[in-house]
Amino acid sequence: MTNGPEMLVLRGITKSFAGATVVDNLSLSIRKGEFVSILGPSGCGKTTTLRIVAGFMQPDRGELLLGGERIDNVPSHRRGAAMVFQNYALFPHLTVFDNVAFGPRMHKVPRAEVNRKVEKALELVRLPQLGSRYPRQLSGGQQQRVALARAIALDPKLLLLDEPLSNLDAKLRKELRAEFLEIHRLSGITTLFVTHDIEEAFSVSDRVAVMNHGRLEQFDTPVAIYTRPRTRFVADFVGHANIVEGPLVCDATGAPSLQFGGALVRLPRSASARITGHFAIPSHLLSIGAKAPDKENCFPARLASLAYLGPTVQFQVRIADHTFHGEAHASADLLALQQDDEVYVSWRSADMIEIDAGAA
Amino acid sequence: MSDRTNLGWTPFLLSLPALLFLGLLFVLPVASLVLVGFSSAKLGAGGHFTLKVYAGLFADPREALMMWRTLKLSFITTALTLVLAFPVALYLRQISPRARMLISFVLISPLLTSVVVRTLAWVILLAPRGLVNAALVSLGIDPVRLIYNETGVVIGLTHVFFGYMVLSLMTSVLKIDENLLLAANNLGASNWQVLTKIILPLSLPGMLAGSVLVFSMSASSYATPLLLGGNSAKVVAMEIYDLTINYLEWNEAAALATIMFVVIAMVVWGGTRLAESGRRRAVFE
Repeated sequence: MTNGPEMLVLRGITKSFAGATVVDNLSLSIRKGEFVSILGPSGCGKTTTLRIVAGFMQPDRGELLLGGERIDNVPSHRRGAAMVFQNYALFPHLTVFDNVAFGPRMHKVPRAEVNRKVEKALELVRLPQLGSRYPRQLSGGQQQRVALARAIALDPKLLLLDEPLSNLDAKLRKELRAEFLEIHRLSGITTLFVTHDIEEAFSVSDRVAVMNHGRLEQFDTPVAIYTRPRTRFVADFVGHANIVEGPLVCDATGAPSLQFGGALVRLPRSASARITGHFAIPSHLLSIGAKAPDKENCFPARLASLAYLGPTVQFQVRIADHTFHGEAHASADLLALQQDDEVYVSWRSADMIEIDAGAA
Repeated sequence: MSDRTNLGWTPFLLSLPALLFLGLLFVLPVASLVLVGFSSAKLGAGGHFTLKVYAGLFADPREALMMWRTLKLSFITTALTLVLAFPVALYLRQISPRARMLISFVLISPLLTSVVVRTLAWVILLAPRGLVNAALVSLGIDPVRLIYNETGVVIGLTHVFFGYMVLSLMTSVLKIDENLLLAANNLGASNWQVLTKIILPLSLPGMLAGSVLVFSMSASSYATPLLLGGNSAKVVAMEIYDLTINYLEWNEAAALATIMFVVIAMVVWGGTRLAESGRRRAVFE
């Protein structure tokens, strides 16, 4: 599915508002049937990008292709790119059925066909009995599903989702996320999803495009984004808080190392930095304990805090002036530790993630 | 609403002055007005209950014509203000809040001058040898009669109540979520379909509220029909004045006022019911 032909192509899309460049020379290519997220903080240009694709605004420069055809000058209502809005944007004066039927009716689909499409779409979002209700009689989650059904009933070439889950509570968000994925699997519609939530983007997407200040920082699979962040911004955004950086040296055995504070940090063999290095240690791969384990990198530290979360424990340790954040299974050994205890913090050098690989 | 803050008797006590004022100076006089219409006594107390006054009014084709004319002119005025104000409300949606405030002020500013002054200004414009006709004549077109007939009344009333209609419409039109229009467009609706299928139905509450307001004010207006319609376009309010002051026929004046009160109340009630059901359907969550 993810190796199909190109469905949506953005080439050098640029958009400015009042002198501020909101989308800056953005190029992106999405394959048929792919589920792609645009991930970034607010103001990174992700929603503007989505609105340009939907046809709500024109880019200043660049080309848009959908299914191989230029759509820059095709009005929104003839693009075949259906949008699901953050606030659902259901028509309050129409029933659920009429909301879902709106698209097919506008396209002059015959009545019997409209009924069939609406029923199919409502079944897909598992709300087949609610056709005669009005939007205000539905819960937030139901409204969002109707909005999705309304978009799907158009048989769009492309489904555009603008932070569709951000108005829902955490539990519902997870439920609907799974449902979006299931619907995507069943319908096979190429989907572009905009979100600022990493977990959301990672859990549903084949590939994730991370944006910052209107520019594409990295476009790759969730695993690649997390384990091989190409820029400092991406590393920071996906939550790599434990950063070691410093000049590169060779230790006594000749293995590549990095001078960090007063200590030498052993680097992974794959390290490509030459003069200075910049590495992240994922918080879940950091261990602490009262005894020094047999790992390449092991340093004495002071336990600054320990928070019990049920299945896991979150902790902060201080090595010299640096704070490291970690998360681990709530084992009895860990729970026996007290704040301000002297502990050993350790990690495998192979788990370290090089940031800005090739730079410097 | 069981967790509403309970202020006890305070709100009632605080509204007592207003309630007394309304009770003594509005409800009581209206009640006595209604009674006068059913009384056989002329210009005073005493007399017995009779329906003769009403029978006389309904039998008189002149009075029926006047009532019909009043309702007709009010209806035309309402329709005209609605048609003229709707595009303005749509335009106000598109502009910046600052520009919106400025234009709203311009729309309301005529309400700051007396209705008599405004209407007399219309006389200067619309009179047989007024500015409009002078312009027409200078262009070689025959002068038209724009005043001292129903046309004059409608022009004057439409001008007076235009601002009220825009303000009423604005409450509905400005509330419509831009995303709804984008969504409709995205789902395949042309601009015209967005207008007819989304904007118009969602503006219904404002349209009905404005219509009820303009209709009831038009039907009870006095100065504008008097100055721009005169005796050839006499409306009920003018007739009531004549009956009261010139002919001292208080019973007939009271009965006529009661009939108009009931008719306008029925129209307002019907319109409000329609507006409520429209609002219920168009409510935003």
